[in-house]
Amino acid sequence: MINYIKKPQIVLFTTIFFLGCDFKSNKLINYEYTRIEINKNTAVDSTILSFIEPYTKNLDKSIHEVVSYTPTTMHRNDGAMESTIGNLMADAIMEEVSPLFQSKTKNKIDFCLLNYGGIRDQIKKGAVTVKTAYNVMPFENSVVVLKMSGQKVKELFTYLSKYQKAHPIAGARVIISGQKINATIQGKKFDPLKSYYVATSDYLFRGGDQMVFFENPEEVHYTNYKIRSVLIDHFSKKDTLQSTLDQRLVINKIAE
Amino acid sequence: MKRRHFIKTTSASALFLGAPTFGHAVFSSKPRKHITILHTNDVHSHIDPFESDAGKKANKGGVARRAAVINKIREENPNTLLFDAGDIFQGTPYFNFYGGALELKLMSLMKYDAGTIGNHEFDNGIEGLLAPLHHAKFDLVNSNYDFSNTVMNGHTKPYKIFEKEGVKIGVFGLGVQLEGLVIKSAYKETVYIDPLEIAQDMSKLLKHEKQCDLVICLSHLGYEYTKTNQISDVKIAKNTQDIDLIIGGHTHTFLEKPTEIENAVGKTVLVNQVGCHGLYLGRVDFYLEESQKNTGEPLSI
Repeated sequence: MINYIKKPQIVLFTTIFFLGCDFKSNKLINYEYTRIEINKNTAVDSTILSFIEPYTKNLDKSIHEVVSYTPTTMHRNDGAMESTIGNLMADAIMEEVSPLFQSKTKNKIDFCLLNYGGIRDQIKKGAVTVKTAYNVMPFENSVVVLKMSGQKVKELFTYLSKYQKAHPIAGARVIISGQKINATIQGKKFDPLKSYYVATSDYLFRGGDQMVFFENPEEVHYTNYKIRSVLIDHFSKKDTLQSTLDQRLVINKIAE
Repeated sequence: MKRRHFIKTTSASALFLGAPTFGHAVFSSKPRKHITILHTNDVHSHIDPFESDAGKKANKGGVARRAAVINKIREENPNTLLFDAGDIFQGTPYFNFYGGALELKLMSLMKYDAGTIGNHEFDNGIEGLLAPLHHAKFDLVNSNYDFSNTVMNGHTKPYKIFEKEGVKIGVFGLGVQLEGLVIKSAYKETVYIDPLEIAQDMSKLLKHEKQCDLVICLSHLGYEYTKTNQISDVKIAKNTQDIDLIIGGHTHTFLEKPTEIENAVGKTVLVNQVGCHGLYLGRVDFYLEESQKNTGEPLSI
Protein backbone atom coordinates (compact mmCIF):
# COMPACT_ATOMS: atom_id res chain seq x y z
CA MET A 1 0.00 0.00 0.00
CA ILE A 2 1.33 3.41 -0.87
CA ASN A 3 1.63 5.82 1.94
CA TYR A 4 0.13 9.05 0.74
CA ILE A 5 2.00 11.17 3.31
CA LYS A 6 5.26 10.29 1.63
CA LYS A 7 3.87 11.53 -1.66
CA PRO A 8 2.68 15.04 -0.96
CA GLN A 9 3.46 16.05 -4.52
CA ILE A 10 0.53 14.00 -5.75
CA VAL A 11 -2.22 16.42 -5.07
CA LEU A 12 -5.27 16.85 -7.20
CA PHE A 13 -7.34 19.92 -6.74
CA THR A 14 -10.89 19.81 -7.84
CA THR A 15 -12.59 23.08 -8.37
CA ILE A 16 -15.99 22.48 -6.93
CA PHE A 17 -16.76 21.57 -3.42
CA PHE A 18 -20.10 21.60 -1.76
CA LEU A 19 -21.32 24.86 -0.35
CA GLY A 20 -21.07 24.49 3.33
CA CYS A 21 -22.63 26.08 6.31
CA ASP A 22 -21.33 26.74 9.74
CA PHE A 23 -21.11 23.25 11.16
CA LYS A 24 -18.19 21.08 12.02
CA SER A 25 -17.59 18.67 9.20
CA ASN A 26 -15.02 16.26 7.94
CA LYS A 27 -13.60 16.74 4.54
CA LEU A 28 -12.48 13.85 2.40
CA ILE A 29 -8.82 14.31 1.61
CA ASN A 30 -7.86 11.10 -0.12
CA TYR A 31 -8.33 7.39 -0.28
CA GLU A 32 -6.42 4.19 -0.72
CA TYR A 33 -7.71 0.97 -2.20
CA THR A 34 -6.67 -2.60 -1.62
CA ARG A 35 -8.27 -5.59 -3.27
CA ILE A 36 -7.81 -8.51 -0.92
CA GLU A 37 -7.84 -11.93 -2.50
CA ILE A 38 -9.23 -14.66 -0.27
CA ASN A 39 -7.12 -17.72 -0.98
CA LYS A 40 -5.45 -20.71 0.65
CA ASN A 41 -2.82 -18.50 2.25
CA THR A 42 -5.48 -16.54 4.10
CA ALA A 43 -5.80 -17.26 7.82
CA VAL A 44 -8.97 -19.01 8.93
CA ASP A 45 -11.33 -17.88 11.66
CA SER A 46 -11.84 -21.03 13.72
CA THR A 47 -15.04 -19.76 15.37
CA ILE A 48 -16.69 -19.33 11.99
CA LEU A 49 -15.32 -22.64 10.76
CA SER A 50 -16.79 -24.58 13.67
CA PHE A 51 -20.06 -22.67 13.30
CA ILE A 52 -20.36 -23.84 9.68
CA GLU A 53 -19.39 -27.46 10.37
CA PRO A 54 -22.72 -28.88 11.60
CA TYR A 55 -24.52 -27.23 8.67
CA THR A 56 -22.09 -28.84 6.24
CA LYS A 57 -22.43 -32.25 7.88
CA ASN A 58 -26.20 -32.11 7.80
CA LEU A 59 -26.14 -30.93 4.20
CA ASP A 60 -23.72 -33.67 3.16
CA LYS A 61 -26.01 -36.27 4.68
CA SER A 62 -28.94 -34.98 2.62
CA ILE A 63 -27.00 -34.32 -0.54
CA HIS A 64 -25.41 -37.74 -0.59
CA GLU A 65 -28.76 -39.38 -0.03
CA VAL A 66 -29.25 -42.12 -2.62
CA VAL A 67 -32.46 -41.40 -4.54
CA SER A 68 -32.14 -43.83 -7.44
CA TYR A 69 -29.86 -46.16 -9.31
CA THR A 70 -28.63 -46.46 -12.88
CA PRO A 71 -27.22 -49.67 -14.36
CA THR A 72 -25.35 -47.75 -17.05
CA THR A 73 -23.45 -44.49 -17.26
CA MET A 74 -25.37 -41.82 -19.15
CA HIS A 75 -23.60 -38.96 -20.81
CA ARG A 76 -24.38 -36.36 -23.41
CA ASN A 77 -22.31 -37.84 -26.19
CA ASP A 78 -23.63 -41.39 -26.26
CA GLY A 79 -25.91 -40.89 -29.27
CA ALA A 80 -25.86 -39.06 -32.58
CA MET A 81 -28.39 -36.22 -32.30
CA GLU A 82 -29.65 -37.39 -28.91
CA SER A 83 -28.19 -38.78 -25.69
CA THR A 84 -29.48 -41.01 -22.91
CA ILE A 85 -29.00 -38.28 -20.33
CA GLY A 86 -30.61 -35.67 -22.57
CA ASN A 87 -33.62 -37.89 -23.24
CA LEU A 88 -33.88 -38.60 -19.52
CA MET A 89 -33.89 -34.88 -18.67
CA ALA A 90 -36.41 -33.89 -21.33
CA ASP A 91 -38.63 -36.86 -20.44
CA ALA A 92 -38.43 -35.91 -16.76
CA ILE A 93 -39.68 -32.41 -17.55
CA MET A 94 -42.57 -33.78 -19.60
CA GLU A 95 -43.50 -36.24 -16.87
CA GLU A 96 -43.13 -33.95 -13.87
CA VAL A 97 -44.25 -30.60 -15.24
CA SER A 98 -47.00 -31.52 -17.69
CA PRO A 99 -49.54 -32.69 -15.04
CA LEU A 100 -48.96 -29.51 -13.03
CA PHE A 101 -49.31 -27.35 -16.10
CA GLN A 102 -52.47 -29.15 -17.11
CA SER A 103 -54.07 -28.75 -13.71
CA LYS A 104 -53.32 -25.04 -13.83
CA THR A 105 -54.13 -24.20 -17.44
CA LYS A 106 -56.14 -27.18 -18.77
CA ASN A 107 -53.53 -27.45 -21.51
CA LYS A 108 -50.97 -30.16 -22.05
CA ILE A 109 -47.33 -29.53 -22.79
CA ASP A 110 -46.78 -30.68 -26.36
CA PHE A 111 -43.04 -31.05 -26.29
CA CYS A 112 -39.88 -30.01 -24.52
CA LEU A 113 -36.59 -28.61 -25.81
CA LEU A 114 -33.48 -28.13 -23.70
CA ASN A 115 -29.91 -27.46 -24.74
CA TYR A 116 -26.96 -29.79 -25.07
CA GLY A 117 -24.67 -27.30 -23.30
CA GLY A 118 -26.94 -27.28 -20.28
CA ILE A 119 -26.05 -30.87 -19.41
CA ARG A 120 -23.12 -30.21 -17.12
CA ASP A 121 -22.14 -33.68 -15.97
CA GLN A 122 -22.75 -37.35 -16.65
CA ILE A 123 -24.75 -39.71 -14.47
CA LYS A 124 -22.34 -42.41 -13.50
CA LYS A 125 -23.34 -46.07 -13.28
CA GLY A 126 -24.48 -46.97 -9.77
CA ALA A 127 -26.11 -44.95 -7.04
CA VAL A 128 -27.78 -41.69 -8.02
CA THR A 129 -27.81 -39.04 -5.28
CA VAL A 130 -29.18 -35.55 -4.82
CA LYS A 131 -25.64 -34.39 -5.58
CA THR A 132 -25.92 -36.05 -9.01
CA ALA A 133 -28.75 -33.65 -9.84
CA TYR A 134 -26.64 -30.69 -8.65
CA ASN A 135 -23.76 -31.84 -10.84
CA VAL A 136 -25.90 -32.38 -13.92
CA MET A 137 -27.77 -29.10 -13.38
CA PRO A 138 -25.75 -26.68 -11.24
CA PHE A 139 -27.66 -23.68 -12.59
CA GLU A 140 -30.78 -22.25 -11.07
CA ASN A 141 -32.85 -22.31 -14.23
CA SER A 142 -36.55 -23.02 -14.05
CA VAL A 143 -38.98 -24.51 -16.50
CA VAL A 144 -41.08 -22.12 -18.58
CA VAL A 145 -43.89 -23.18 -20.84
CA LEU A 146 -44.36 -21.11 -23.98
CA LYS A 147 -47.28 -21.11 -26.36
CA MET A 148 -45.61 -20.90 -29.74
CA SER A 149 -47.07 -20.41 -33.19
CA GLY A 150 -46.48 -23.16 -35.72
CA GLN A 151 -44.26 -20.73 -37.58
CA LYS A 152 -42.00 -20.33 -34.54
CA VAL A 153 -41.94 -24.08 -34.02
CA LYS A 154 -40.82 -24.40 -37.63
CA GLU A 155 -38.00 -21.98 -36.85
CA LEU A 156 -37.11 -24.22 -33.91
CA PHE A 157 -36.80 -27.22 -36.22
CA THR A 158 -34.73 -25.20 -38.68
CA TYR A 159 -32.47 -24.24 -35.79
CA LEU A 160 -31.96 -27.92 -34.90
CA SER A 161 -31.17 -28.63 -38.51
CA LYS A 162 -28.72 -25.74 -38.73
CA TYR A 163 -26.73 -26.31 -35.52
CA GLN A 164 -26.85 -30.13 -35.55
CA LYS A 165 -26.36 -30.66 -31.85
CA ALA A 166 -27.89 -33.27 -29.57
CA HIS A 167 -30.23 -30.80 -27.93
CA PRO A 168 -32.56 -32.83 -25.69
CA ILE A 169 -36.16 -33.08 -26.86
CA ALA A 170 -39.19 -35.00 -25.66
CA GLY A 171 -42.75 -35.24 -26.94
CA ALA A 172 -41.65 -34.70 -30.51
CA ARG A 173 -39.90 -36.73 -33.15
CA VAL A 174 -37.97 -34.78 -35.74
CA ILE A 175 -36.40 -36.31 -38.83
CA ILE A 176 -34.41 -33.86 -40.88
CA SER A 177 -33.18 -34.76 -44.34
CA GLY A 178 -31.54 -31.82 -46.01
CA GLN A 179 -34.18 -29.12 -46.37
CA LYS A 180 -36.95 -31.54 -45.55
CA ILE A 181 -38.19 -31.62 -42.01
CA ASN A 182 -40.53 -34.38 -40.99
CA ALA A 183 -41.88 -33.81 -37.51
CA THR A 184 -44.52 -35.37 -35.31
CA ILE A 185 -45.64 -33.80 -32.06
CA GLN A 186 -47.44 -36.01 -29.56
CA GLY A 187 -47.66 -38.62 -32.32
CA LYS A 188 -49.40 -36.28 -34.73
CA LYS A 189 -47.96 -34.70 -37.81
CA PHE A 190 -46.66 -31.20 -37.16
CA ASP A 191 -49.15 -28.56 -38.31
CA PRO A 192 -47.56 -25.13 -39.01
CA LEU A 193 -50.97 -23.47 -38.61
CA LYS A 194 -51.40 -24.76 -35.07
CA SER A 195 -49.93 -23.37 -31.85
CA TYR A 196 -48.00 -25.59 -29.45
CA TYR A 197 -47.13 -25.55 -25.75
CA VAL A 198 -43.38 -25.95 -25.47
CA ALA A 199 -41.48 -26.48 -22.22
CA THR A 200 -37.94 -25.14 -21.98
CA SER A 201 -35.67 -23.41 -19.50
CA ASP A 202 -35.95 -19.73 -18.67
CA TYR A 203 -32.33 -19.42 -19.78
CA LEU A 204 -33.16 -20.51 -23.31
CA PHE A 205 -36.31 -18.44 -23.31
CA ARG A 206 -34.13 -15.39 -22.64
CA GLY A 207 -32.20 -16.12 -25.80
CA GLY A 208 -29.54 -18.51 -24.50
CA ASP A 209 -27.78 -20.60 -27.18
CA GLN A 210 -29.18 -18.30 -29.87
CA MET A 211 -32.60 -19.89 -29.53
CA VAL A 212 -34.22 -16.67 -30.72
CA PHE A 213 -37.37 -18.50 -31.85
CA PHE A 214 -38.42 -18.49 -28.20
CA GLU A 215 -38.72 -14.68 -28.32
CA ASN A 216 -42.19 -13.13 -28.25
CA PRO A 217 -44.28 -16.26 -27.82
CA GLU A 218 -48.07 -16.12 -27.72
CA GLU A 219 -48.08 -16.94 -24.01
CA VAL A 220 -45.46 -17.31 -21.28
CA HIS A 221 -46.08 -19.49 -18.25
CA TYR A 222 -43.41 -19.38 -15.55
CA THR A 223 -43.61 -22.57 -13.52
CA ASN A 224 -41.05 -21.53 -10.89
CA TYR A 225 -40.01 -25.18 -10.92
CA LYS A 226 -36.25 -25.50 -11.08
CA ILE A 227 -34.89 -28.00 -13.57
CA ARG A 228 -32.70 -29.45 -10.83
CA SER A 229 -35.74 -29.93 -8.59
CA VAL A 230 -37.53 -31.63 -11.47
CA LEU A 231 -34.62 -34.06 -11.72
CA ILE A 232 -34.48 -34.72 -7.97
CA ASP A 233 -38.24 -35.30 -7.86
CA HIS A 234 -38.08 -37.51 -10.92
CA PHE A 235 -35.13 -39.58 -9.67
CA SER A 236 -36.80 -40.04 -6.29
CA LYS A 237 -39.80 -41.68 -7.94
CA LYS A 238 -37.75 -44.20 -9.88
CA ASP A 239 -35.98 -47.19 -8.38
CA THR A 240 -33.90 -47.50 -11.50
CA LEU A 241 -33.30 -44.84 -14.11
CA GLN A 242 -33.92 -46.02 -17.61
CA SER A 243 -33.24 -44.11 -20.73
CA THR A 244 -32.74 -45.28 -24.25
CA LEU A 245 -31.83 -43.75 -27.55
CA ASP A 246 -34.99 -43.85 -29.64
CA GLN A 247 -34.09 -41.73 -32.64
CA ARG A 248 -36.28 -38.82 -31.59
CA LEU A 249 -34.00 -36.40 -33.41
CA VAL A 250 -32.36 -37.62 -36.58
CA ILE A 251 -30.44 -35.54 -39.06
CA ASN A 252 -29.76 -37.42 -42.26
CA LYS A 253 -26.92 -36.32 -44.43
CA ILE A 254 -28.05 -36.04 -48.02
CA ALA A 255 -25.57 -36.98 -50.66
CA GLU A 256 -24.95 -34.05 -52.95
CA MET B 1 -6.89 17.11 -20.82
CA LYS B 2 -4.00 17.70 -18.51
CA ARG B 3 -6.17 16.80 -15.59
CA ARG B 4 -7.28 13.63 -17.26
CA HIS B 5 -3.70 12.63 -17.85
CA PHE B 6 -3.00 13.41 -14.25
CA ILE B 7 -5.68 11.03 -13.05
CA LYS B 8 -4.29 8.27 -15.19
CA THR B 9 -0.82 8.62 -13.82
CA THR B 10 -1.92 9.06 -10.27
CA SER B 11 -2.12 5.84 -8.38
CA ALA B 12 -5.52 5.04 -7.03
CA SER B 13 -4.09 5.22 -3.58
CA ALA B 14 -3.06 8.83 -3.56
CA LEU B 15 -5.75 10.94 -5.09
CA PHE B 16 -7.08 13.94 -3.36
CA LEU B 17 -10.78 14.31 -3.55
CA GLY B 18 -12.68 17.49 -3.07
CA ALA B 19 -9.69 19.49 -1.95
CA PRO B 20 -10.29 23.19 -1.65
CA THR B 21 -9.89 25.55 -4.57
CA PHE B 22 -7.36 27.51 -2.60
CA GLY B 23 -4.60 25.07 -2.07
CA HIS B 24 -3.83 26.26 1.41
CA ALA B 25 -2.71 24.15 4.28
CA VAL B 26 -3.66 20.77 2.94
CA PHE B 27 -1.04 19.36 5.21
CA SER B 28 -2.18 21.18 8.27
CA SER B 29 -1.94 19.80 11.74
CA LYS B 30 -5.67 19.16 11.87
CA PRO B 31 -6.54 15.68 13.09
CA ARG B 32 -6.79 13.22 10.27
CA LYS B 33 -9.51 10.64 10.43
CA HIS B 34 -9.36 7.21 8.90
CA ILE B 35 -12.47 5.28 7.91
CA THR B 36 -12.15 1.83 6.38
CA ILE B 37 -14.91 0.49 4.17
CA LEU B 38 -14.89 -3.24 3.45
CA HIS B 39 -17.21 -4.74 0.90
CA THR B 40 -18.43 -7.83 -0.89
CA ASN B 41 -21.07 -8.48 -3.56
CA ASP B 42 -22.71 -11.45 -5.24
CA VAL B 43 -21.33 -13.95 -2.75
CA HIS B 44 -24.15 -16.29 -3.86
CA SER B 45 -24.09 -18.64 -0.88
CA HIS B 46 -20.42 -19.50 -1.38
CA ILE B 47 -19.60 -20.42 2.17
CA ASP B 48 -16.88 -23.00 1.59
CA PRO B 49 -13.75 -22.20 -0.42
CA PHE B 50 -13.80 -23.47 -3.99
CA GLU B 51 -12.39 -26.93 -4.47
CA SER B 52 -9.04 -27.55 -6.13
CA ASP B 53 -10.68 -28.51 -9.44
CA ALA B 54 -12.63 -25.25 -9.77
CA GLY B 55 -10.43 -23.76 -12.49
CA LYS B 56 -9.66 -20.08 -11.97
CA LYS B 57 -11.54 -20.05 -8.68
CA ALA B 58 -9.71 -23.10 -7.30
CA ASN B 59 -8.96 -22.86 -3.57
CA LYS B 60 -10.22 -19.29 -3.42
CA GLY B 61 -12.97 -17.76 -1.32
CA GLY B 62 -14.48 -19.09 1.89
CA VAL B 63 -16.33 -17.33 4.67
CA ALA B 64 -14.04 -18.49 7.52
CA ARG B 65 -11.08 -16.91 5.75
CA ARG B 66 -12.94 -13.73 4.94
CA ALA B 67 -13.93 -13.47 8.60
CA ALA B 68 -10.28 -13.71 9.66
CA VAL B 69 -9.31 -10.90 7.27
CA ILE B 70 -12.16 -8.72 8.47
CA ASN B 71 -11.29 -9.28 12.14
CA LYS B 72 -7.68 -8.33 11.54
CA ILE B 73 -8.64 -5.13 9.74
CA ARG B 74 -11.09 -4.23 12.49
CA GLU B 75 -8.30 -4.67 15.05
CA GLU B 76 -6.09 -2.35 13.04
CA ASN B 77 -8.83 0.20 12.54
CA PRO B 78 -11.92 0.09 14.74
CA ASN B 79 -13.46 2.71 12.44
CA THR B 80 -14.34 0.06 9.89
CA LEU B 81 -17.65 -0.58 8.18
CA LEU B 82 -18.54 -3.73 6.28
CA PHE B 83 -21.12 -3.78 3.50
CA ASP B 84 -22.57 -6.16 0.93
CA ALA B 85 -24.12 -5.15 -2.40
CA GLY B 86 -26.61 -7.98 -2.78
CA ASP B 87 -27.13 -11.48 -4.16
CA ILE B 88 -26.26 -12.97 -0.85
CA PHE B 89 -28.51 -15.91 -1.74
CA GLN B 90 -28.44 -18.72 -4.29
CA GLY B 91 -25.56 -20.59 -5.79
CA THR B 92 -24.76 -23.53 -3.53
CA PRO B 93 -26.88 -26.22 -1.83
CA TYR B 94 -26.49 -24.26 1.42
CA PHE B 95 -29.13 -21.90 0.11
CA ASN B 96 -31.38 -24.66 -1.17
CA PHE B 97 -31.25 -26.47 2.16
CA TYR B 98 -31.25 -23.66 4.68
CA GLY B 99 -33.14 -20.98 2.74
CA GLY B 100 -30.57 -18.23 3.32
CA ALA B 101 -30.48 -18.54 7.12
CA LEU B 102 -26.86 -19.68 7.21
CA GLU B 103 -25.67 -16.86 4.94
CA LEU B 104 -27.36 -14.26 7.16
CA LYS B 105 -26.13 -15.86 10.38
CA LEU B 106 -22.55 -15.84 9.10
CA MET B 107 -22.80 -12.25 7.90
CA SER B 108 -24.06 -11.32 11.36
CA LEU B 109 -21.13 -13.13 12.99
CA MET B 110 -18.80 -11.19 10.70
CA LYS B 111 -20.61 -8.05 11.87
CA TYR B 112 -21.75 -6.78 8.52
CA ASP B 113 -23.06 -3.24 9.02
CA ALA B 114 -25.53 -3.26 6.12
CA GLY B 115 -26.42 -5.04 2.93
CA THR B 116 -28.63 -4.29 -0.03
CA ILE B 117 -31.11 -6.48 -1.87
CA GLY B 118 -30.13 -8.33 -5.03
CA ASN B 119 -32.51 -9.99 -7.47
CA HIS B 120 -31.59 -13.45 -6.18
CA GLU B 121 -32.83 -12.46 -2.75
CA PHE B 122 -36.28 -13.14 -4.27
CA ASP B 123 -35.45 -16.67 -5.40
CA ASN B 124 -37.62 -18.26 -2.73
CA GLY B 125 -40.26 -15.61 -3.24
CA ILE B 126 -40.65 -12.47 -1.18
CA GLU B 127 -41.83 -14.62 1.75
CA GLY B 128 -38.60 -16.58 1.35
CA LEU B 129 -36.66 -13.35 1.78
CA LEU B 130 -38.55 -12.39 4.91
CA ALA B 131 -38.42 -15.86 6.50
CA PRO B 132 -34.67 -16.01 7.29
CA LEU B 133 -34.32 -12.24 7.78
CA HIS B 134 -34.61 -12.39 11.57
CA HIS B 135 -31.16 -14.03 11.55
CA ALA B 136 -29.64 -10.84 10.15
CA LYS B 137 -28.25 -8.58 12.86
CA PHE B 138 -27.68 -5.90 10.24
CA ASP B 139 -30.10 -3.89 8.13
CA LEU B 140 -31.00 -4.39 4.53
CA VAL B 141 -30.83 -0.94 2.99
CA ASN B 142 -32.85 -0.27 -0.13
CA SER B 143 -34.19 3.06 -1.31
CA ASN B 144 -35.96 2.24 -4.58
CA TYR B 145 -38.17 -0.75 -3.88
CA ASP B 146 -41.56 0.13 -2.49
CA PHE B 147 -42.50 -2.84 -0.33
CA SER B 148 -45.66 -1.21 1.10
CA ASN B 149 -47.99 -3.86 -0.27
CA THR B 150 -45.77 -6.83 0.48
CA VAL B 151 -44.72 -8.85 3.53
CA MET B 152 -41.35 -7.04 3.43
CA ASN B 153 -43.00 -3.77 4.41
CA GLY B 154 -41.04 -2.26 7.29
CA HIS B 155 -38.21 -4.79 7.07
CA THR B 156 -35.79 -2.63 5.11
CA LYS B 157 -34.31 0.82 5.64
CA PRO B 158 -34.21 3.51 2.93
CA TYR B 159 -30.87 4.70 4.32
CA LYS B 160 -28.61 4.34 7.35
CA ILE B 161 -26.24 6.80 8.96
CA PHE B 162 -23.18 5.51 10.78
CA GLU B 163 -20.89 7.62 12.91
CA LYS B 164 -17.27 6.66 13.37
CA GLU B 165 -14.78 8.94 15.11
CA GLY B 166 -17.13 11.84 14.52
CA VAL B 167 -17.37 11.11 10.80
CA LYS B 168 -20.89 10.68 9.53
CA ILE B 169 -21.30 8.05 6.82
CA GLY B 170 -24.63 7.92 5.01
CA VAL B 171 -25.55 4.74 3.17
CA PHE B 172 -28.42 4.13 0.78
CA GLY B 173 -29.26 1.20 -1.49
CA LEU B 174 -30.40 0.67 -5.08
CA GLY B 175 -32.02 -2.46 -6.47
CA VAL B 176 -32.24 -3.63 -10.07
CA GLN B 177 -35.44 -3.63 -12.17
CA LEU B 178 -37.17 -6.86 -11.20
CA GLU B 179 -39.55 -7.16 -14.14
CA GLY B 180 -38.11 -9.56 -16.69
CA LEU B 181 -35.44 -10.69 -14.26
CA VAL B 182 -37.47 -12.16 -11.44
CA ILE B 183 -40.79 -13.93 -11.76
CA LYS B 184 -43.65 -11.67 -10.79
CA SER B 185 -45.05 -14.32 -8.44
CA ALA B 186 -41.78 -14.07 -6.51
CA TYR B 187 -41.51 -10.30 -6.06
CA LYS B 188 -45.29 -9.79 -6.04
CA GLU B 189 -46.35 -6.19 -5.36
CA THR B 190 -42.81 -4.84 -4.94
CA VAL B 191 -42.67 -1.57 -6.87
CA TYR B 192 -39.42 -0.61 -8.56
CA ILE B 193 -38.75 3.12 -8.57
CA ASP B 194 -36.34 4.85 -10.96
CA PRO B 195 -32.93 4.47 -9.27
CA LEU B 196 -31.45 7.67 -10.69
CA GLU B 197 -34.13 9.89 -9.21
CA ILE B 198 -33.85 8.07 -5.91
CA ALA B 199 -30.06 8.37 -5.98
CA GLN B 200 -30.29 12.10 -6.58
CA ASP B 201 -32.74 12.54 -3.71
CA MET B 202 -30.96 10.23 -1.30
CA SER B 203 -27.48 11.63 -1.85
CA LYS B 204 -28.78 15.17 -1.46
CA LEU B 205 -30.63 14.23 1.70
CA LEU B 206 -27.65 12.46 3.22
CA LYS B 207 -24.98 15.00 2.26
CA HIS B 208 -26.88 18.21 2.94
CA GLU B 209 -29.81 17.65 5.25
CA LYS B 210 -28.23 14.91 7.31
CA GLN B 211 -24.77 16.46 6.91
CA CYS B 212 -22.98 13.23 6.18
CA ASP B 213 -19.27 13.50 5.46
CA LEU B 214 -19.31 10.43 3.24
CA VAL B 215 -22.15 9.14 1.10
CA ILE B 216 -22.03 5.52 0.02
CA CYS B 217 -24.42 3.83 -2.36
CA LEU B 218 -24.87 0.06 -2.15
CA SER B 219 -26.06 -0.85 -5.61
CA HIS B 220 -27.25 -4.00 -7.28
CA LEU B 221 -27.85 -2.26 -10.61
CA GLY B 222 -24.75 -3.57 -12.34
CA TYR B 223 -21.51 -1.84 -13.24
CA GLU B 224 -22.14 -0.71 -16.81
CA TYR B 225 -24.19 -1.72 -19.86
CA THR B 226 -22.65 -0.76 -23.15
CA LYS B 227 -25.25 -2.34 -25.45
CA THR B 228 -28.38 -1.05 -23.77
CA ASN B 229 -29.59 2.05 -21.99
CA GLN B 230 -30.04 0.19 -18.74
CA ILE B 231 -29.28 2.23 -15.67
CA SER B 232 -25.93 1.28 -14.12
CA ASP B 233 -23.50 2.32 -11.41
CA VAL B 234 -21.49 4.29 -13.95
CA LYS B 235 -24.62 6.23 -14.98
CA ILE B 236 -25.61 6.86 -11.38
CA ALA B 237 -22.10 8.18 -10.68
CA LYS B 238 -22.13 10.52 -13.68
CA ASN B 239 -25.58 11.93 -13.06
CA THR B 240 -25.51 12.64 -9.35
CA GLN B 241 -23.45 15.06 -7.30
CA ASP B 242 -23.07 13.93 -3.72
CA ILE B 243 -21.99 10.29 -3.80
CA ASP B 244 -18.45 9.43 -2.78
CA LEU B 245 -18.48 5.69 -3.32
CA ILE B 246 -20.72 3.25 -5.15
CA ILE B 247 -20.29 -0.34 -4.04
CA GLY B 248 -21.79 -2.34 -6.87
CA GLY B 249 -22.87 -5.84 -7.74
CA HIS B 250 -25.05 -7.87 -10.13
CA THR B 251 -22.75 -7.90 -13.17
CA HIS B 252 -20.04 -9.92 -11.36
CA THR B 253 -17.49 -7.37 -12.54
CA PHE B 254 -13.99 -7.97 -11.25
CA LEU B 255 -12.44 -4.52 -10.91
CA GLU B 256 -8.82 -4.36 -9.85
CA LYS B 257 -9.45 -0.98 -8.33
CA PRO B 258 -12.34 1.46 -8.15
CA THR B 259 -13.15 3.36 -11.32
CA GLU B 260 -12.95 7.12 -10.78
CA ILE B 261 -15.86 8.82 -12.46
CA GLU B 262 -16.52 12.51 -12.74
CA ASN B 263 -19.96 13.34 -11.43
CA ALA B 264 -22.45 15.99 -12.54
CA VAL B 265 -20.46 18.76 -10.84
CA GLY B 266 -16.98 17.55 -11.69
CA LYS B 267 -16.24 15.76 -8.45
CA THR B 268 -14.82 12.28 -8.40
CA VAL B 269 -17.00 9.31 -7.49
CA LEU B 270 -15.50 5.91 -6.89
CA VAL B 271 -17.34 2.97 -8.42
CA ASN B 272 -16.19 -0.43 -7.29
CA GLN B 273 -17.16 -4.08 -7.50
CA VAL B 274 -15.28 -7.21 -6.43
CA GLY B 275 -16.64 -9.77 -8.87
CA CYS B 276 -18.49 -12.54 -7.09
CA HIS B 277 -18.50 -15.62 -4.86
CA GLY B 278 -16.41 -14.14 -2.07
CA LEU B 279 -13.16 -14.46 -3.98
CA TYR B 280 -12.19 -10.93 -2.99
CA LEU B 281 -12.85 -8.44 -0.26
CA GLY B 282 -12.77 -4.79 -1.29
CA ARG B 283 -11.07 -2.34 1.05
CA VAL B 284 -11.38 1.41 0.67
CA ASP B 285 -9.55 3.54 3.21
CA PHE B 286 -10.88 7.07 3.38
CA TYR B 287 -8.85 9.84 5.01
CA LEU B 288 -10.70 12.89 6.19
CA GLU B 289 -9.77 16.11 7.87
CA GLU B 290 -11.86 17.99 10.35
CA SER B 291 -12.92 21.43 9.30
CA GLN B 292 -14.92 24.03 11.21
CA LYS B 293 -16.19 25.69 8.12
CA ASN B 294 -16.45 24.72 4.59
CA THR B 295 -13.05 25.63 3.21
CA GLY B 296 -14.35 25.33 -0.32
CA GLU B 297 -15.53 28.92 -0.09
CA PRO B 298 -13.27 31.87 0.54
CA LEU B 299 -13.63 32.99 4.13
CA SER B 300 -15.46 36.27 4.42
CA ILE B 301 -13.91 38.78 6.73
